[in-house]
Amino acid sequence: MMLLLVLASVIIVALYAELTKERLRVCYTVESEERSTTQLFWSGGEGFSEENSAKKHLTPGRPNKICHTGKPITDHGLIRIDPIGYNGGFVIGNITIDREWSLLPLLFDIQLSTSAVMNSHHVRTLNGQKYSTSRDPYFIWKFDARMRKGEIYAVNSLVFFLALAGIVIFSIKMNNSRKLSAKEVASVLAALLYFVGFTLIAWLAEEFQDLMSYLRLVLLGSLLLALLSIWLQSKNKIKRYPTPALVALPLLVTIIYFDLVYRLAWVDRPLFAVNSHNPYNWTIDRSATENYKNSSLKYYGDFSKIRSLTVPGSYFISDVATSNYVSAALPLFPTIVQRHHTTRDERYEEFLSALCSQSDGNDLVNKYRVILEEKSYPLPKYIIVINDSENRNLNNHCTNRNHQVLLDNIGLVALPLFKGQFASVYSLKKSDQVKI
Amino acid sequence: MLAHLAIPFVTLIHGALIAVMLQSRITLSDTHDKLVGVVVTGFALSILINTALATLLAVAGLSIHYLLGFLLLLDVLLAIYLIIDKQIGINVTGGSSLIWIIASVVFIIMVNNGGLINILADSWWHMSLANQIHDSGTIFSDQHHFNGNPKSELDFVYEPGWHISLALIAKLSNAPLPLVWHTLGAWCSALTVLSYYYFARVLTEDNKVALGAVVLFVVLLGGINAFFRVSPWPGNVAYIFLYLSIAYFFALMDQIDVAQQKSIDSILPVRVVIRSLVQAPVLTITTFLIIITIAVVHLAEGLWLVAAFIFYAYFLSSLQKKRAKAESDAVVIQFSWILFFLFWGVLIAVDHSEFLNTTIIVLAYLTINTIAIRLLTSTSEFASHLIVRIVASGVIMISTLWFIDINHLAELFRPEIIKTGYYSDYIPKYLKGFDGVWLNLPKWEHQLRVGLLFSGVASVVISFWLVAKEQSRATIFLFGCAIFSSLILISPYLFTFFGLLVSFTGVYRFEILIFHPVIIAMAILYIYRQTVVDKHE
Repeated sequence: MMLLLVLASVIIVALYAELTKERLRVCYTVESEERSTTQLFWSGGEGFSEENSAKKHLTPGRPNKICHTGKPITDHGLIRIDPIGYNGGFVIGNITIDREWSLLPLLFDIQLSTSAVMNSHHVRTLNGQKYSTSRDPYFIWKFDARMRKGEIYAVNSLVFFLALAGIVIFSIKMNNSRKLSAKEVASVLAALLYFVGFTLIAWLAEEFQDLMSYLRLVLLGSLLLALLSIWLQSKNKIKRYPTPALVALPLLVTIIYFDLVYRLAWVDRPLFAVNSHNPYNWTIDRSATENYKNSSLKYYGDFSKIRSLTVPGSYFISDVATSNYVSAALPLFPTIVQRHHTTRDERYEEFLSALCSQSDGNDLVNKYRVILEEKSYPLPKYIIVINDSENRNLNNHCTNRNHQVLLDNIGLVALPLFKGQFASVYSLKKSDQVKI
Repeated sequence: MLAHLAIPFVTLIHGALIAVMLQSRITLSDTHDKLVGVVVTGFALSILINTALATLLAVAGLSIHYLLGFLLLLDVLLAIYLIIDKQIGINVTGGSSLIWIIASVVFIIMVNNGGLINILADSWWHMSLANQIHDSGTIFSDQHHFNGNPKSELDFVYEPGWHISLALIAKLSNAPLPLVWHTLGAWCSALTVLSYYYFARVLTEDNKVALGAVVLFVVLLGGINAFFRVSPWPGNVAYIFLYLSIAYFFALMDQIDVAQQKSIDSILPVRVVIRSLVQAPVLTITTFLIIITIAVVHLAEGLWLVAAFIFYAYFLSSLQKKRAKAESDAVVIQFSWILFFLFWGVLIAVDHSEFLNTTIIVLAYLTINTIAIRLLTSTSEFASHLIVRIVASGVIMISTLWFIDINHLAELFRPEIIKTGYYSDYIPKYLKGFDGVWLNLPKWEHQLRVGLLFSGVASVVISFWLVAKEQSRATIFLFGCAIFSSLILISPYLFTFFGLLVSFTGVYRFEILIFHPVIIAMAILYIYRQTVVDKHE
């Protein structure tokens, strides 16, 4: 009886909570011209604060979607969006305030409205394009929302007191040397565990908010499964359907499902992540062709010629990617490598940056002299440059981006040794040959 | 294409031929898929033979490239021997054809996708070592293969077992090392699948669970998009041998007959080794050869192997009343304990202060919890009092809450906190322990998250449910490994402790011992069998 009472309470509370809950989800899109941040504030009348805000970094040149469900937004709330943090143009759009998901998503996934701005600050619109006239532009919207948390707490308290009452009653029974039945113990445990369960539901509610379509699919799948099991039972193909199986099977299927859809890149964020996450770099959708493009396979024609022109065991200066490619192909040692592969010596990096920067020649020569004068480190013999705009591991480095600058500067410190389709090798000058 | 031909020649054929010879001398139960066993064991033995012969050639001052001719000769001789001795053959009874279909599908997918990844990663570092061996024809060098720093010739920067085979494949196929690496993706992925199946089938003694586990391994553990792509990395190649060696350890336990022993505690480890050598010499030697293969490819997995059995032993000894096959298991496990404490002793001698602080806390935690678990599982009158059970449960809960870092656990569920792709994500984070000692915890970087979120985390709970339902070798082993491995990942004391045993950047690999594909497959099959009417009933 106790168990039934508690279960009924759980169902009532869950339904009540879901039917009355009106938490909101705010989404918008910002396209910026520069690297910057966007920030969302919400307030229930107490003013805006960093505590009730969410910040996101913006990648310039593409729409950045921001979605956030913050702490409960109370009656007559205000929302403020600081779209960018610089003085310049930007695009803001798709501003939506949605009712947060409910346990019954089919019934309650209703979009309330697109917003109407109540106030804006330091924002001008010219020819449809928005411009910020300061580093702190913002928009403010007003909306109505309600949270009936008080009633939910009341029902929660009721269940808690029922559990306490159960403990007291059963203690008296035990004192009278009466053994408790399994159902009696289970009912108290269920009442106590109800709070854990409720918290879990509330927590999961936040996690699943962006996965509405999948929730529906799971809901639909569960319904079909239930119908199938009823049919199987009618055909005597299922012997029994124990309660743990009812709980465990959907749980297991859900676990596999959510892991699988992320790993197959069908959703762009793992469960529990609020924002989308970059897919792993070795995902299956990256083809061999793409990987070949970003590896050294096409440079081997040049490498075989370099092998015959260079002295085995010598050191060379190049960017990290070239260092990796060359050391996997030739008996040469790099001086600039990934940080976790050796202690990084910044002098080589500074020299390489100077080589492809527009500074005057003195700076480059001075940096090279620093390397020449240092006796405790291996003296590099070559500079190796691979120029390949297709290779993402190379094309961000200044040796590729400012390749012409490098070609203009390199004569100051090195002599050309080999020029191939992709790779070039320069022999570094000795100290007496280096002049401005 | 040439690389695809060179790979089986260098890494499979000679080992497989020897495995066929060995297996005809081993009596294995029907839970072993003999053909799968031959292929995976063949892979391990090939790598070991290559390493051993390359070392001998290098010591003799000869180029390791002579090995290619020798391997051809060895293959021919072994094939002739097998043809002449008609009694030798593979008994394929009880084998599954489905696993070969799954492995073939994985192979075909990976032929297309390959083992190269389109960012810079440690694979290049490994290829550089293989290139040094390829160019010099020896495994001895007085210069670091990558940064050129001078070193002693006997100071190996990395276990060279895998790199020797890479160099040989590159030499035979005349293909660039990145292409060899890329091609190996298909072979290593298929072998990983086969090895995992072999392990799951021996452990659970259930072909359906093993097949289910393999399917889940492919889709959950990142098979499709993560670990298969990085399967040619030495650490991941060592996983193939880790799964295989666990299976062989269990086979060994089955072979050792200790039924006559009255007391398990009286069995000395030395006697265990002697008994296994007497009763199952070929199996014992094969098992040890595979362990040596792990050591020459990626030593850390050797520790994982010992750890897995220690975790198993911990709960096996606590669940004695219902144990299955516990007697023979305990024998080998005791040996693992001795190895563990030996390792521990050496480390204490090497580093006193920092290590001892962490060790004392780990020991205290384990001691308190061992007593509490014993009380909970005991059937004595004292232990059956409700108050005793409540206190014991409370002790476990409170001490564990203190022992782990809750915030760190919470971070796992907040991927936003982790900025992937930065150097700092690959090294452990530091925090201060209550006694002022600096402790470590793993960053929840990509591999961890792939494995743990969220099937890995859920499977820890499911493993508890399974062990509560049925205490068998499989459930206790899976539960023990899942609980301890997750504890290592969230307890700064345990993580630091193991970080001192292996490198700190490697301890996160304990994640692999949460065998969640097997756990979930077992749970699903368990529910299915509880629910569906058996036609034979």
